[in-house]
This record gives sequence, C-alpha cells and structure tokens, in this order.
Amino acid sequence: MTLHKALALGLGCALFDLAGASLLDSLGFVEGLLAPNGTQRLLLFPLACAFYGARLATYFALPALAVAALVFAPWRAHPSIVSLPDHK
Amino acid sequence: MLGNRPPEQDVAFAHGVAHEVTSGVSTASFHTGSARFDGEWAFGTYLMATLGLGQVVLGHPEERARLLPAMRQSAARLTQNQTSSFGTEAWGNVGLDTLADGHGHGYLGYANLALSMLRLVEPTTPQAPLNDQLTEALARRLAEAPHGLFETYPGEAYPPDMSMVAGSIALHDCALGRPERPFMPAWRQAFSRYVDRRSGLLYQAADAATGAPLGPPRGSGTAIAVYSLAFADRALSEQLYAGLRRQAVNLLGFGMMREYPSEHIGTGDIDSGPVLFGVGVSATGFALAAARLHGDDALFTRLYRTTELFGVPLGDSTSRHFMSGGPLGNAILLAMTTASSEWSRHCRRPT
Repeated sequence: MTLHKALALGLGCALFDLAGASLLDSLGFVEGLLAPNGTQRLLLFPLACAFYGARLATYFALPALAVAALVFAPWRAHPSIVSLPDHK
Repeated sequence: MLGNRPPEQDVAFAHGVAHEVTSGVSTASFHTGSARFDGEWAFGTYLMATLGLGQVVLGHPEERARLLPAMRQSAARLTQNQTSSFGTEAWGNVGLDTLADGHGHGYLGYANLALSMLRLVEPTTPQAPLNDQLTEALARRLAEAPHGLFETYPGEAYPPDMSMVAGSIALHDCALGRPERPFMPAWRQAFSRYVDRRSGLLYQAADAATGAPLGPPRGSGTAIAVYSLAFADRALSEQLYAGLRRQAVNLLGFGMMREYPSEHIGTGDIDSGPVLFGVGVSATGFALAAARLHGDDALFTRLYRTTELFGVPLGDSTSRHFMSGGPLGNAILLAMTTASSEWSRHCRRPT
C-alpha cells in the first residue's frame, strides 16, 4: 500500500470513528442493544461492529500501515535501490 | 491520546452523569430480561451516581452548588420503595420499612454507602434520619451474623455485599465523628475466611448459616470490595488489592482484569458482565477505583486506556460521558474513576 492510500484510509477510518460514535450515541447504543425490540438491535449491531472495526483500525492497524508505507516508499519510487544482482 | 486523563475531566464527567440521572432513570430504562436485574441496574445507577458526584464535590468544592442538587435527587430516588422493588419482591416485605426488626436485605448496604456519602457532603440532608436508621439496622444485622455474613436475598449471601455494609457503616460514623463499632474487629476476622488463600481473591457467594464459600473467588466482587472496604478498613482493602493485582492483564499497554483465578474457567453473569477470553468487564471497571485508591498509577492508566478505547468518550469540557456506558456504566465509571481517600479528610472530629 502506498503512503497516500494509507493516509486516505486512515483519515476515512478516523472520520468514521468520530461520526460513528456520535451516531451510535444519538441512537441510544446501550439501551438499544438491551432493548427487547429486535429491529433496533438489527440496525445497531452491524453499525457497532463497523464502528469498532474502524476504531481499532484507526488506533492499531492504520498507523502500522502508514509506517510500513513510509519505510517502503523509497523502494517503490526506485525499485533498483534494493534489486538483487542479476546472475546470468 | 488514550489513557491521558486531566483532572478537569472529572468535573465534566460529573456534569454528564448529573444530567443523565436528573433526566430520569428507572427500571423501564433497562431490558436485561429479568425484572430483578432491571431493578438492580436502576438502583445501581442512582447508587454509583450519588457516590461519584459526592467524590467529585469533595475533590472540587467549587462545583458543590452545581452538583449537589443532582446528588440529592439521585439519593432520593435510590431510597424510593419503587427503586428497590426487586428486593421487596424477593423478601416479600419492604426493606426500608422493616429496619427495626427485620433481617437480610443485604443490598441495602449499597444504598447506605450512598446515603453516608451524601451525609458527609451535606450533614443536614433530609436523608439523615434514614441514614441513621439504616446504619443501625445494618450494624445490628452484621454484628449478629454468626459468620460475618447475612443474606442479600433469601438463601443468597454475598461477601462483597457485606463489604458494602461495613463500608457504609464506617462512612456514616466518619460523617458523625463516631469511633469504630465494637463488633468490627470480630467481623473483620470472620470476613477474612471469605478471602481465598491461594488467589487472594474474595469469594463471590457463601452460605450465611455455615460460612462456607460457594463457587469460585472472583475479580469483580474483589474489586468492588477493595473500593468499599477502603471506607472501613484500609489494611483489608489493601490485602484484597494484592490478590486483585495478580488478575491484571497487559496487552500492548491496554489493561484488563481476569474475572476468575487461573485454575478456574468461568462464564459471564449479571455481576461480571461479559467475560471474553477470561477478561471481565465489571472486574476491569471496578479495578479502576482499586488501582486509584492504592496508588497504582501504572495499572490505572492501562485500565483507563482500555476504558477509553471501548467506552468511547464523547462531549466537551463542560459535559462528558462514555458512548457505550449507558446510564449505569457511566455512573459506575464516574464513581470508580474519581475514587480517592479525600473523604477521610472530611470526617467530623470525634466529640
């Protein structure tokens, strides 16, 4: 993954983290999950999974991806830097 | 940055919880599937909100005028017969109406700890007579209990609940400047049989008639006992904390607490909350207070980091709450994250 893509993905997840938290809060996350009304749970459960997935990615996976993209950026720009000698 | 917690957050969080409890929380706010547990959760919300708000008022006296009305309201709702209807249903009588000659109703220790906190913050509270009657009734029941344990519900007795009873009596006596009760040294000795020698954890349940522990010792009950016993006996609280500390799990700087000792495999229940890979939600939340009270800043920071990651704090500098807390979770987190020994500086001098 390029640094550009990693940063774009990170920004997307961070925005989803912020917006998702407010959305779940306004929907009454805990009360909704505990509610006997099944339709509310059907909406909240996948939304909560997506939200926590984005949140965990924002804090753990994406920083690692960005660092990896940064480390490998010179090699991507100039693959010959680390190319192996040609044994013919 | 997760785990970073400036002190001014306590005040904003207190305002968030104050708003939540004054907006009205009742048994209808919860849907656990059990009328008793719905009632316990409403009761727990008012209990923890009163304790947390009291702790913030003691630590931030400048907030007293703004937070005391919510604290009063929370304590008033806590003591309404409707709020403890789960106990009435179990016993067949109203716990607060049978203080003089009744028995059992061990859950009232929780209510009394909240009333004692209100008493400390506001000695002239209209709840003072009830706090006195409740304290005397609980003290009598505890003194008469043959093994330092009386029933919470018929046939059900829980050592963590007795730690609340003892803590509530001690905090009441602190607020009034009274010395320790004569039965306390004997109770302390009787209570120590509920501490598992191997793990250092407190048994969650026991037989009140024989004093025999029932089931395994557990992290959630131990953690709440560390908190409540800090009002009654700091050494005993510290002893339990040593056992609780061994339950800590550190995963990439995120702290969690195991619910069961390593030799036990157990599932979650209404006390522990969900237990995932051995880690308990309640044990982790209650351990925040335990770590704070015993000066374990490193564990507190790790636990708080986890709380922020999964709790998801929202709000601003004037009002905060945790998205995934709900009324009960937010009230518990307020009480646990603001626990301190500040109360002991406000005890009335003995006359």
